[in-house]
Amino acid sequence: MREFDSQETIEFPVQYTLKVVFQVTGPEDRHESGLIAVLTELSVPFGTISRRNSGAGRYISYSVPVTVAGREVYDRLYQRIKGLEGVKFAL
Amino acid sequence: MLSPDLMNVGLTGETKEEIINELLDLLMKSGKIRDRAKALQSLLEREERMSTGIQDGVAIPHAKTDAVTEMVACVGLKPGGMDFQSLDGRPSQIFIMTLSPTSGSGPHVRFLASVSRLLQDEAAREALISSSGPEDLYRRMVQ
Repeated sequence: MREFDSQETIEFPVQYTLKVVFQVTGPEDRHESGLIAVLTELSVPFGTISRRNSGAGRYISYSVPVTVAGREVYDRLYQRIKGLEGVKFAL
Repeated sequence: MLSPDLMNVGLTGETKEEIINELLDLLMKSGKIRDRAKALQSLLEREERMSTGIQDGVAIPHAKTDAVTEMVACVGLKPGGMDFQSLDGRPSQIFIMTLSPTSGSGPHVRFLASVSRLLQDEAAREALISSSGPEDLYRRMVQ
């Protein structure tokens, strides 16, 4: 069986809603600032960020429309997000 | 970090390199750049990897470099805009340049997040573009 290969299926530039979930480890604003800084550093155009807290308040998820120019930016974006404190996952 | 003497409402450069040099001259006024040539090299290398033109007429040229020991930033406006290779293809009119030391990222992250939040707002962008001079631009930036 042929394995899924995202490199074949994504056509750049691509617009989608990036979702990032953090475990709350400090001021909520810190997570959002870190996410915005990564997007800005990588020159990723983004839209309005929406935020949702989990019921128990342990997690916070952000949804942000982004436009990613190419594969290199796409890969670096997820690498950088992975390095943010408290990140549980990003889609 | 920002001050009126780090604002320019009439950038004249017509190319990306000219604009970066003009902004770097402005940043030199901070007195915190130890090596202009090294700072320029860091900025141009960053641009070569990936343009810092973002969208909606905004570009944020930035780099981490040993040429500074603390973060510095300046703001420039280019009436009419110029092509800074933004993904949306629109000319860039608002330029925010920042240089940060290679170690430590706290102030860098907070500054980028703060200016990005501000520039997401169309009314704020329009207000900046219509600044009458450096003092006015500074006031609108820190409001």
